[in-house]
Amino acid sequence: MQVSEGGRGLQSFVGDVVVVGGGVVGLATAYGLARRGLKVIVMERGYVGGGSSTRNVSRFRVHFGNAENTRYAIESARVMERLSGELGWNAIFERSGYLWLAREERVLNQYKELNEKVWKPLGVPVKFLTREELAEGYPYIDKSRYVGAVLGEQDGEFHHDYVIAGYYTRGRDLGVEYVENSEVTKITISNGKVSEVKGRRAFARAKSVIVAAGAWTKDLMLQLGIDLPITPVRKEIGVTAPVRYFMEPFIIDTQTNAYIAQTMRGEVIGSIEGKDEPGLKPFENTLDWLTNWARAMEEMVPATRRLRVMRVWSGFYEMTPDHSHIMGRGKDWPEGLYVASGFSGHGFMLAPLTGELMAEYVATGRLSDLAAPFSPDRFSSGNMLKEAVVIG
Amino acid sequence: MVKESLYSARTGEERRFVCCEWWCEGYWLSMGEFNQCEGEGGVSPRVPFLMRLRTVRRMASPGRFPRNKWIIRFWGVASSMARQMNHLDMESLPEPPRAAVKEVAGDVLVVGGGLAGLSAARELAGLGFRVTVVEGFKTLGGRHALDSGKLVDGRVPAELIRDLTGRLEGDPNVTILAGAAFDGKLEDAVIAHSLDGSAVFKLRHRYVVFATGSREVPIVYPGNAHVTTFTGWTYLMLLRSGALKHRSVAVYGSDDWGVRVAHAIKSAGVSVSLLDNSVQVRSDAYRDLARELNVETSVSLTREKLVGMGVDALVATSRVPAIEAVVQWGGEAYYEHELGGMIPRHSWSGEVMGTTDAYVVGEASGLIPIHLIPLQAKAVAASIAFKEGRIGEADLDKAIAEFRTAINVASPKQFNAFQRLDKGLHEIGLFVEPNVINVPQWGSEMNLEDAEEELICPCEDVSLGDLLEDVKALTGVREIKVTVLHEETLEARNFRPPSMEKIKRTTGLGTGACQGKLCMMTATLILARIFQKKPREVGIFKQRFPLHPIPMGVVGDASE
Repeated sequence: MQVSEGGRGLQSFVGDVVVVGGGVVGLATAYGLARRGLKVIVMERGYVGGGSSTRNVSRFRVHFGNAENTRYAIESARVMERLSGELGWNAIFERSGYLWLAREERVLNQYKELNEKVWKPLGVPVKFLTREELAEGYPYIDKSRYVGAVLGEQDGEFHHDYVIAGYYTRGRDLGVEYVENSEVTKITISNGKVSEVKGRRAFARAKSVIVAAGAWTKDLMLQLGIDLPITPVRKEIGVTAPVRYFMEPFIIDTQTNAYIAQTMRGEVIGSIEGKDEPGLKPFENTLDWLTNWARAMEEMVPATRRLRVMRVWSGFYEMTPDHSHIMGRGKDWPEGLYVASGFSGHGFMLAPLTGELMAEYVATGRLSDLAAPFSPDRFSSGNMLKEAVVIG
Repeated sequence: MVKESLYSARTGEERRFVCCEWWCEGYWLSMGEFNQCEGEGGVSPRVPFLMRLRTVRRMASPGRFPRNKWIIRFWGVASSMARQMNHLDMESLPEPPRAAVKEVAGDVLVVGGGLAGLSAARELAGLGFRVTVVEGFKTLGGRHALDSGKLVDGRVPAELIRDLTGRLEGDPNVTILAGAAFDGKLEDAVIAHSLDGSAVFKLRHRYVVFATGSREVPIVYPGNAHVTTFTGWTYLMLLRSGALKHRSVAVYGSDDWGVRVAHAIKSAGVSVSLLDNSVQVRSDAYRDLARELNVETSVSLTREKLVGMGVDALVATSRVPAIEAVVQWGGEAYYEHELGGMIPRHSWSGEVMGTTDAYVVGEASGLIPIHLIPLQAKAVAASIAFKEGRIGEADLDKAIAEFRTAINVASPKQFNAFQRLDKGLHEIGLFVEPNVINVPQWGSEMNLEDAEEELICPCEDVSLGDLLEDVKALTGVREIKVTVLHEETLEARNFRPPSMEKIKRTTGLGTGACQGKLCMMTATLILARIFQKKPREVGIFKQRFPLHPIPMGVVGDASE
């Protein structure tokens, strides 16, 4: 093939679409495009799945603060539910539930309002548990602390490593080319159209480029003069040594914003939302966070004091002003440029649907109604998504 | 009372590896046991009915489980089975006491209180530094406290330890935290905790010396899970307490330490066979001792072979340098075959490259002759003293030259290896790993026929067969076989095995509570050997805080 000046010395590709970012959003999109017969090249700065995609807690929910996100999440969970058979790797999909613990009636009332306004109409009502029901169903929780709880039975868990491996290997079978350790350094625009993508190890020519670079999206888009309101925030997380399975749902203390869940193998995984400063900080951990998490966990489930923390790590949330993702393309962007990023901590759970919708949009030009509210233009046009009820 | 049998939490199968060292806690926890070597407790073996069937066990093996069609199709049923792993109940773990938070400040932190750590602490204290030593065992000395045989220079390790301990215990410049695990570095603190849960130590020092020693790991060969296997340290300790009544054992691993252990066991009246996969006994220094034993080299180990030999147990003396702590601190590990296994790249002065404040000494820097460890410790202490302006360059050069000369006399191969680590290839600073990997702890080297019977990660039941299945799935390769070729084929040369980080995520290798201490190095070296890659290409997975599991309650008490 012919290689322009910029591609000299690099591995070269020609394809239909270059996906920037080998996280779950990029992989799902590449897979969707490859299924439609397109030739896809994925460029990843580290290794496939090595960013936030395999640093998360591996849980999904359909219950969001507004109808747009909730609708989107319901559909994404449906896609995820059938992934195992499709990808050949077991997604370990299970609707094991989310349990929000409330220390005040006020919180329960907010959830009730949300349930009436958003969740019930969309067919995903939650259950409300009294203190007694909480004590009966979940005896390990310190009931003295909570007035009640909200149970989302439609929410659940999956296995992020297996899903990543599934998208990766099935995509490979369909002809997707993956280039790892190849951070994208330049997206070239000629005559108002994207033409080339240059990474550290590879160079690719294609008509379409989808930027699904998670926390690293903002800087890359800025090079093209597009300022997306995406702010990376480092989040810490940890896991304990396994104990016998005792806890089914994902449990959140709505006051401390601490959460815990037990994996299939018995480990307890969780974190606490802290005073996380924005920025692409190194993937490290702090004692400050760890002690806060440990104490909050003990407040929820006193016996967890006995558990032994085995590993801690960190990853990024890529936050947007309305805590909702950005997908599609802006009206005045160069032709062929797309984005799927800014998932604000919900990237994995929303990726299965995002992959399908992005593939459809890029391949056919049809933008699904589900995806339309998440347009990058919403920030300038004043159509930001609004929480139906503000929790907390 | 030592429990020789533990049971896989997943399959209920018997696991007969016995390790009584403090860092084995994670292994015990993964097997549903709180302490393999002390007290009662633990879960009773409970084999899920279907797991009795070999086909089901095979389907559920870590290399097949994620992709098994039947498990995917009947996930509703399978998922409830998958949740029945036979771990301890949360309530049966002991309630940790209220932990006190103790600030411990000083000039130099020494991680490890064995021969290397104590030697370094003594040299540093002698130079006027305030030193803190963190040691996991309640008593100091580590493995060499149990070693009462003469070294090549006539000294006795156990006596050296006694002497060092005596001098350090009365020294006002030295703080000893025994029975405490070093947990590693966080952004805002460096932490250790006492293993009884009573204290969290916040460590504030300007330098750290890693003297973490080496670790005896399980030997990998077909049927290894079913053979009673002790680590050398565990065996010597139990032998001393009179708890063992064996007539005949096999010791696997013939380097200096292996020969010395074998000899000590023989001296206790037990018949000993010394085995290794090497062409000849690895130890140069103790060849005479080895002559007194039944030696068999170039073995291809199997369970059947050991049964045929009529031995009561296998003693695993093959070691890997314990480098998790220095890697977590920021050191980079390279494979160096003359020094044994992967070690942090460091200079002659022990300074760990890629860091500004970390040093390594003793077997964590390579499996050097035991009698040279005190000299190396002197060089490391001199290097820190020079940086701090306490001694002149001439004194530093003298300390390093003394160590260099001694190692050149004792083992020119190791001298060259240190030289390569320090100067790189042709003194250009670039270190190149060798291509041909030797895996001392792989008893059935290059035989992949019974790979499924070769257990590598006991905590998560990952066998060599599982690793190969996973590599096949991730790379799309149909078959992995070993053939001896005169020329490397292009296909083999271009083949890129997935990194250990990916293998860890998809097989669970090293994600058990021992955090990979028993399996990580073995897995990396075996894959590097099979695929003829450099171990750094396969890599080791990220070393995460804490290096030893800490009760959450203890962590929670560690707030300001």
